[in-house]
Amino acid sequence: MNEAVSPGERSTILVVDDHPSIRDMLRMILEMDGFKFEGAANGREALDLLPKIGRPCMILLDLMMPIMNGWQFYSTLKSDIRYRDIPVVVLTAYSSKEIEMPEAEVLDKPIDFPRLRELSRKYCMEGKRLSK
Amino acid sequence: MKWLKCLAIAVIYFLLARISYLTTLPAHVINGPALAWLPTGFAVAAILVEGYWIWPGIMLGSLLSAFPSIETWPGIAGFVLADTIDPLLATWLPRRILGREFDLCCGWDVTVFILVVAFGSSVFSATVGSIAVILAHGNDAGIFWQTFIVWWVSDFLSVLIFAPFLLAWSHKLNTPAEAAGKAELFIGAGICAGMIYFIFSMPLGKDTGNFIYWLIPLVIWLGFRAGRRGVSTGIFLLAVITIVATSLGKGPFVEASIEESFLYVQSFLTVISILGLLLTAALGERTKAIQDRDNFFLLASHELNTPLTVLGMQSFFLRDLMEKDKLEFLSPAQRRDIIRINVSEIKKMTDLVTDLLLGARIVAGRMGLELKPTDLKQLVATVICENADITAVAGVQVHINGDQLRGNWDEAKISFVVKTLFLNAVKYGQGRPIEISHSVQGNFVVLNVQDRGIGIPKELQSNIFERFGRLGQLRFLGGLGQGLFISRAIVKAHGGDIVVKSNPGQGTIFSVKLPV
Repeated sequence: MNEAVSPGERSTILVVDDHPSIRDMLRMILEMDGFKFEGAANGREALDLLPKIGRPCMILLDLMMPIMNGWQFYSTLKSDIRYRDIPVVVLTAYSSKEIEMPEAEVLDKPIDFPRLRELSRKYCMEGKRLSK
Repeated sequence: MKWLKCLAIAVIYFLLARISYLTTLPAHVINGPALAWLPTGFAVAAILVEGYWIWPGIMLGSLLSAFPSIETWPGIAGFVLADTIDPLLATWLPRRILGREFDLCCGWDVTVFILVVAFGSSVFSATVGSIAVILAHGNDAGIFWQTFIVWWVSDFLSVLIFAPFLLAWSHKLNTPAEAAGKAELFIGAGICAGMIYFIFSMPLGKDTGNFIYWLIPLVIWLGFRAGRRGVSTGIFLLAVITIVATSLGKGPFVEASIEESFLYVQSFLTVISILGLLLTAALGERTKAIQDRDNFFLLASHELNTPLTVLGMQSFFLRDLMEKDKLEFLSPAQRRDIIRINVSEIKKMTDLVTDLLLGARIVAGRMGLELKPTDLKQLVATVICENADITAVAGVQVHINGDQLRGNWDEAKISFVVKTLFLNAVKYGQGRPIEISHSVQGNFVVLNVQDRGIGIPKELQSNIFERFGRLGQLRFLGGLGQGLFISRAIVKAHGGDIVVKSNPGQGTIFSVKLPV
């Protein structure tokens, strides 16, 4: 549970996954940890959502999705100057070598929670602590 | 570029014809048919690789090769017609029979290749060619059968031996890699060469024919260890050596007359090439079965991983709250969500396990039916009601048409069929309305499930009812790819049938026919 971030300055984490149950569970966990949750069911939806939400501190990305998969979303994101430096954490059962996304962190499925927490702290809280 | 390719084909065809003429039977039989007419095998492979459009190249090559040996115009016309239409027919017929592109990968394709492409379509060219020869030689009907047999055998031998060799090296067909390493291939090739040298260099007069059987284990080794390329190349080289050696009066096939010798050569080459083809087909099926199994494990673990991930998240989340004594922080809505997610994920896993068990029972031939009077209208309504949450998420309208209708069916299994077809329609229906209707047609009730979604590509329609038919495509859509396989088995066990009509981009109709 995150006591370091007050409700007024909650960071947004964008979750891109086509399974509603995974999005629902991540919403509960991330909101309970004090983050603001935004969800998209595929890469296309996520790209449409990005301009409408505050800049996310991290994107949790599934790979196998209809309409626009994780790889297509990742390469579009990295080619957009506005979003290219948003950290991406890939949720996958593949190894980091197999997914061929050099800059992305990998979070194994089934999800390793201490690591999810570690990554969300790393990307979404350290900057705030430093600025304080 | 196309005309240049046609020209190249014509030149190669002509050169192969010149080489084949070297194996022509003596002139007292007829001019023309050779022991193995290489251009036919080449033309079949060329059409399979390039397409039907190269026929002018084949026709030109055939015309060029006819001139030196056939002197009359009816003779030339018959020769060219036979040699051009034969490979076209040989490539069109199997596609027609199989309803798809054919590959020399597995049992059914190879059976069609041997019976239809090699033996069948060559009957046509042999008939037309022999009639042309009779016309050219002034109605001497006596030579018809003689010419027919020689022509037919030389054409089918070329297709059996030369076409698989060219196709294996063309990259057009799916050619699995050989299992053997370089050293093993080198040693194996050396043993083959030594054996062939031994067999063909034995002095005449001894009973050398028996030694030819020694080549069979070598062909089997090639099939197992050197793959399709190895076995087709080995058999092609063996054919060349056999023909050349027999022409030079060496080897186990040399008999008193050259016709007799060549007959033995042809018979041996036919048997050995069919052995090679059947062997590679069997090994191709084994490879495909292993690939299917591995893909299935991958898919099954992926499918089980998602509900496990969700349930794992729940356990972690609740334990975390409990340890921090914050369970009461959960709002009533969050508690309801947790239970809802829990129930739905466990249902997904239960459905997957049910699918696996049903699929395994069907394969083992142990699917029993529990028949009882069942109302189809009620059954359809129940299935749709049970899956209302999925329909709601997809935002799909469902229209049901049909009167109350009772039949003696296995209610649970027919529910499975309706559920599979309905959920497929939701998955592939792109959110457009779905219609489920049933009506009586004679002694059957026909249930149609229609969507207006992405449709099924023509080339995939023939295998959607196969086990794991969807593997490799659309994996993100979930399921183990055996719903339609199970559904068809259930419907067939009831004495009915299930068919699909689909236009890509316009939608799909599955029709289930059940006896009333």
